[in-house]
Amino acid sequence: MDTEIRPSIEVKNLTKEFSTSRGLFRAVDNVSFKVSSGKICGFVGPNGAGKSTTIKLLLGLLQSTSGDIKLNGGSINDSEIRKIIGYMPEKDTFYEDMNAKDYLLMMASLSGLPSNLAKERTETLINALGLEEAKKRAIGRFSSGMKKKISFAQAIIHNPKILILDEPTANLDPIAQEQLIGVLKEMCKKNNTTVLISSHHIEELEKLIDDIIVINHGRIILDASLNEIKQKTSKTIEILATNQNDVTKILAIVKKLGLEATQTDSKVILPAKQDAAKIQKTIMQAIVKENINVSNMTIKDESLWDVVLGLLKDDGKTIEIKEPEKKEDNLGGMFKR
Amino acid sequence: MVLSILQIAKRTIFENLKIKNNLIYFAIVIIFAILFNLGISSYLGINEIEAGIASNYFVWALLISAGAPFLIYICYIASGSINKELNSGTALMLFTRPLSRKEFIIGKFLGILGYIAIINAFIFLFVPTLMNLFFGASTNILPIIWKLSLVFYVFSILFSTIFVSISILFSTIFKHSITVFLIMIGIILALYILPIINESALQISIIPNIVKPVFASTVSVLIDSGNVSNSISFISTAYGDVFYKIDSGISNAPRIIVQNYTSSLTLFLVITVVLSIIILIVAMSVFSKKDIA
Repeated sequence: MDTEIRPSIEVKNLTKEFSTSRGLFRAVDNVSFKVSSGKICGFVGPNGAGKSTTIKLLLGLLQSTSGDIKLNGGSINDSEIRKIIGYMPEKDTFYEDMNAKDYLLMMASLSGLPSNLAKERTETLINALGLEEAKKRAIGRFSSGMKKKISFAQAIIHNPKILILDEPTANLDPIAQEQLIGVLKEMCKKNNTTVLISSHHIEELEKLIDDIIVINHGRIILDASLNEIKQKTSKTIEILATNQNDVTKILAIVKKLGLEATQTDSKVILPAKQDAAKIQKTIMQAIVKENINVSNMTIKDESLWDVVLGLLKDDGKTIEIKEPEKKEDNLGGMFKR
Repeated sequence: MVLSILQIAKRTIFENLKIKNNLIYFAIVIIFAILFNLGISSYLGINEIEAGIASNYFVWALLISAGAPFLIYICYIASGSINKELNSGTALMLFTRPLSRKEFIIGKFLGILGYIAIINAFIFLFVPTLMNLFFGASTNILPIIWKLSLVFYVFSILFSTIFVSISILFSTIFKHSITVFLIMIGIILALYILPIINESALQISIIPNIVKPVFASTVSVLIDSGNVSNSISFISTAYGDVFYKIDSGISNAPRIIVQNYTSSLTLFLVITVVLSIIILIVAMSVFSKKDIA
């Protein structure tokens, strides 16, 4: 991670223990990480990994057992620091009898915005999130997607320097997701906001984040920038043959090129690194030359999901993270005969 | 700081004004008032009522102001003031803002008092008028009733502070509002109702003597239709009475006279305010260490 820029969020040796009937339970175990100013950081882990506890410790809602938290160099207990924090919780927690406009005005006022600015920001956000028609309606009568928007709006109404989002796009339809991400991106760009996003939707995170922190069993198991991860991730070439005879021929071609491949039914898989395209081209030429029937040939990137999954499996945790739909660099149609 | 407190207080007032239980409270109060009026009317006879000796109007007001229904209702309102916000998660959103837990508790306290002030204002205006319409007493005693209502209105707010602050304290400790409410019912029974029924119960109370009048204040209607002109006492403790006399017999201009017997109104106020502050400080201390999950 980029350490040259001053960290907005700095956590050192943070530990949180809860007393249970079975004794002490350590939900967060000696966690340390930094999120640099202006960066968007994904905070990922399976259910019960310690994400929400860590976030609540960051926000001062829980008292830590030990460790130190600095937000913009100050303590969360400082009211000036609280003014620059925005938080969107996973669950919608509103005064359901209030209408959207009054609720946002109240939250803006509690964030220290002067009355006129609070009104202006409320109107702007209501329009940006497409809630104009519902602004006078009680929040209790909103759909879950609309509630999510209000939750997001209250988090950013005071243009926070640090924004903490817990599952921001859960229950949102694709259009609303895009809308929300659009507003978030614009705000980050305009205000250099530091964002910590906790989410199970890794594919969605991948589009947004600069850095990623993976937590499991209350411990950090990955803390890296997305670029670092991309440089280290591998690729595979998958060739789908139409019959066993062709599979044998393809394996022979691969062997001739000095590469190793594995076979699963009629699929031949060979690992490749940065030279995957070059290898694919060479194999493609050989296949055409030898007149082999191939129904599909793809280069697959190891996704962020694969990286996180691998890490969590190594850490001995069954995954409950939502798996994204696989996207392939598909060249298959070219080889169909 | 002040703005944050006012925001919480404002929210608390509106939140409580919207609840449908207000109607149940009003219904109970009105039923009580009508029954009491009917009882007093049959006991005294209509002539005495018309003479303004013991007007049904303020008997009603006395009951709602310092009576058990009022106390039970405000405890019901206050018993969920903190824990409901914690359980629903709304507190979670508030405490990520520059709002301290102290400010939250002060805002809640003031909000509940504000709410009491509003609903009681309605009752003290509405009910005497309603009673006048239905029971039709002489209109020349209405100014007396209004004045008495005003005094009693202020007193009802002061009287409720101690119960509101105790409810808030327990609301910071216990997760469920029903637990707090049951504890408050116990407190009302032990310190308020029981001493009224049986004075000896107060003697064994662990509450210091100086504090007892705060809890043991109750309604008593002293009807004196003898030589002393129209007089009514309406705040009575188990030790002695703080009399508020209405003297309307000498001249047509009614006056409210506060007579001090064993405890003074000033002492009562001082004890109430000091106790409320102490209880709220304890509540803040408890709440500041609480995890909000």
